[in-house]
Amino acid sequence: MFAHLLMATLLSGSSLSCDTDGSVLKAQYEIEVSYHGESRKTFSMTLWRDGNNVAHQYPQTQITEAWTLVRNTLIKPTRFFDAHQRAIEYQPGESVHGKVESDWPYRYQLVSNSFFDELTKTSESGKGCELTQTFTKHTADGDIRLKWQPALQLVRSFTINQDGVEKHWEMKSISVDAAAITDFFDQRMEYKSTDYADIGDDHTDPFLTNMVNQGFIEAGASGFYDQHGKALEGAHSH
Amino acid sequence: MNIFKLSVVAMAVAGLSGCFLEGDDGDTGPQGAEGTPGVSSLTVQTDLPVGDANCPNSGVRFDSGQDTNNDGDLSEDEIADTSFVCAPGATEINNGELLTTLNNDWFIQAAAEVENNKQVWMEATGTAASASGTSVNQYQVSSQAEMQALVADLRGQAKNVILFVGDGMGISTVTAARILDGQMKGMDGEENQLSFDRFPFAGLSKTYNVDAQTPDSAGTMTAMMSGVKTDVGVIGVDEDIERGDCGTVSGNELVTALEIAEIAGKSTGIVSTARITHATPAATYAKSADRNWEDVSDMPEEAVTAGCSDIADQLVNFESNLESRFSGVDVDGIEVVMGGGRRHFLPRDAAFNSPDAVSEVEGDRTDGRDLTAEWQAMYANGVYVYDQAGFDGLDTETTERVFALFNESHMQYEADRGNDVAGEPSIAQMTQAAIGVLDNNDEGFFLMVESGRIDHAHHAGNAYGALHDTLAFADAVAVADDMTNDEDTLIIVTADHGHVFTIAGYPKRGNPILGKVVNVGSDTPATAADGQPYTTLGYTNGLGYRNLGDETNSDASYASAPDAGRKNITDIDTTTPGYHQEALVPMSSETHSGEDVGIYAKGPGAFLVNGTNEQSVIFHVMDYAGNLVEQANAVVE
Repeated sequence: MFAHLLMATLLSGSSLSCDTDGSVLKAQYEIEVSYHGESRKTFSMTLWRDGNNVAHQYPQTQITEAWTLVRNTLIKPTRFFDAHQRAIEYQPGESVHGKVESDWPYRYQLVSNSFFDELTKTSESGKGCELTQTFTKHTADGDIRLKWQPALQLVRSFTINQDGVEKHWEMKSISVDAAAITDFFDQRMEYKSTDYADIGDDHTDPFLTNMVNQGFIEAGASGFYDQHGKALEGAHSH
Repeated sequence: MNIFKLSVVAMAVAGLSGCFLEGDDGDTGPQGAEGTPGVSSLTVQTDLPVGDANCPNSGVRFDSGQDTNNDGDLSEDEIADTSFVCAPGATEINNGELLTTLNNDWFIQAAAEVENNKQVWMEATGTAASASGTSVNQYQVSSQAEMQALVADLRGQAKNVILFVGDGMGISTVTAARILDGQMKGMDGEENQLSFDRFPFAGLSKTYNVDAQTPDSAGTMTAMMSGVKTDVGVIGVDEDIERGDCGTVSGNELVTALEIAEIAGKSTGIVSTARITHATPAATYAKSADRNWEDVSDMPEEAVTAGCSDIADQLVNFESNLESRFSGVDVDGIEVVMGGGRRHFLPRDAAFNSPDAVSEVEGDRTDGRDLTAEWQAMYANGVYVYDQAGFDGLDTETTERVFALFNESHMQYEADRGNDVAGEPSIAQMTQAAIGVLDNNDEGFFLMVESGRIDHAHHAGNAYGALHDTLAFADAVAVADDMTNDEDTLIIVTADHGHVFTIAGYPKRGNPILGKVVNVGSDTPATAADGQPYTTLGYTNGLGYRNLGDETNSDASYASAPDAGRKNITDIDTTTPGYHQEALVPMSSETHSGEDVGIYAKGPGAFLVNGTNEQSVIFHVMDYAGNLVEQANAVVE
């Protein structure tokens, strides 16, 4: 029912219909990293939401990381290798990057609630559905600045500057085209899926054999991390 | 210098050399001029101790020569000749001299073990009275022919046959698990015995597949269950199969021990901690050109069109499939199925999710069929179970058959089992329940129990997980042993293949098996040539080092890229559940190995397990013990 595209509207101050709570949306981010103001690299990430399904799509690596919230308690991760139309499926409780997925807001809104608790709201603008809040945090290491749209539980921008390394996330576009979003998830459901534990069973499968070269999501690529690659999940990080 | 050994005989011959014939005396001649003073001839005698290079049992050395410098001593350069007289070697040892050995505990225990082994063998073959007096058949034989005849008569004495398969449980895994178990009990560990270590008979199994030096579970389990070695990756079919080609299945199907037992009127069961459609359990009941055809969505369209059935379908329709292959056969189907793998039995539709589903859509089937419902419709008296509560509610004395699928995919690792949503029974609990149901049949039963996740933990490079699943497996064997009688139940414990898992270095006795190597006489970790400590356990290949601390899930290591090679583990606790051992060759998953695995056996026919065997011999031992083929043939005829 929200089959219309709203491109790059939020930052320009245009309104987004309050008909949506943000549970079905596509938000494209551009991420810039600069080192002591000299070198800079830019990549993009698209946040997809479809109810209890969330995906972080990385066009550069053609990998999509997805999570399903099951019965509001368990998180089931799946990694889609889009270039190969293959998926590696994890069971809830299996850990990724050495930790068990248990912080749904961290995946759904890119910021965990516990991290929010560490921030201070410094300003807000707009009203109702268009309310945008700015949060900051100052530490001995540097500064964090987050612009947040509570109606959609959506990050509009995020900046962390520590030890001369600055990372800046900027939302460039948003869509609530439900059909396209459903199609995105359905397409990946059709990928040939291999259970996490079965990777070692079949060394005749070229994809699995070469997984070492397929690319792994490195720390810092999904969600917000500091300059050391540590996830910014707040004091109760997992 | 001329050196020789002088024997007593040689000395006697030398003494005779001065004798000659005597003639008449002549006139006395004029006195000659005095000659120059001669030199003294000296002989020096030296006692030689035991262990001397020339006289190992002690002796005397004789050095002789002229004292050319007239100093009264025979110096080295004056020795013209050396000879030895050696004491003879001891030809017998009295017990007094052996007391140190005879009183040694290791010696006494080993001697007793030999005596016990002799008795076990004689009891097993019925050639001597049992020390316990519990053996059913006692015979005395006086010739080899009589012995062979008796052995032939022993065929068929096993009413029940249980095959335990530790997937990937190679020799090093058994050894390390044994040590870990012992150390958890407060022992040094090395002297400990797992349940099947105490089995009286053991041999080795050559695991290669017909087309593969290092095998997989599909080919190896097919060999064990059918007596025929076959290709890697295929289930229940011979080597004429073309993997992945449905059209090559027909005519190449093999008959398994479970099927033969079923035809013979026995109850049958399969238990696995893996998906019940996974290669090892599948090889007991299915025929498939590819191990991955676990449900219809895993199959290529042409295979479905050509009429091949997926593995889950074959399990649920086992009874009718078997009856259609052998005319006149009327079987009652598999009585016990317990394991994981619900996804392959349910449609890809959230409406069919189990109450404890952990995925938004649990089922994978794209044909809309709910095989759990089909099974329940087929067996009105059967009990379908999906969680711990259902399992706990089983009355094994009254339950006719049970179909239990505890997880969407594999069941939990033993170390991770407490984290399951709705709870899962241990492999020992499943074994106990399975035997409880199966032994209600007076005709006996055939049961296969697989610990599937030893293999998975090794693939992930996590020794902790592999060893703890091995210990859970050993507990299951102990339960089966306790519940059955050695006189009518053959139990075989083996593995399908090993892993590239090593116990290395020279750790001292009792050194924590999951820890760093500490050498004999030391209290600090030994260091390698790179100056870093190293663990006793390690892998030749795989993902390599991970330090995930308290993480009990072995699969956690798959989350990031391989990190092979040496790491500085000086400050790392390598005994935690989440520690993943270092690996040499970086691979996306640690691999199987190609060396032999152990076969451990007890009960009727167990004495046939010895030496080094083709893996397919396991079927033949089970057939001999249970006389399965003959009994099945009698039914078919």
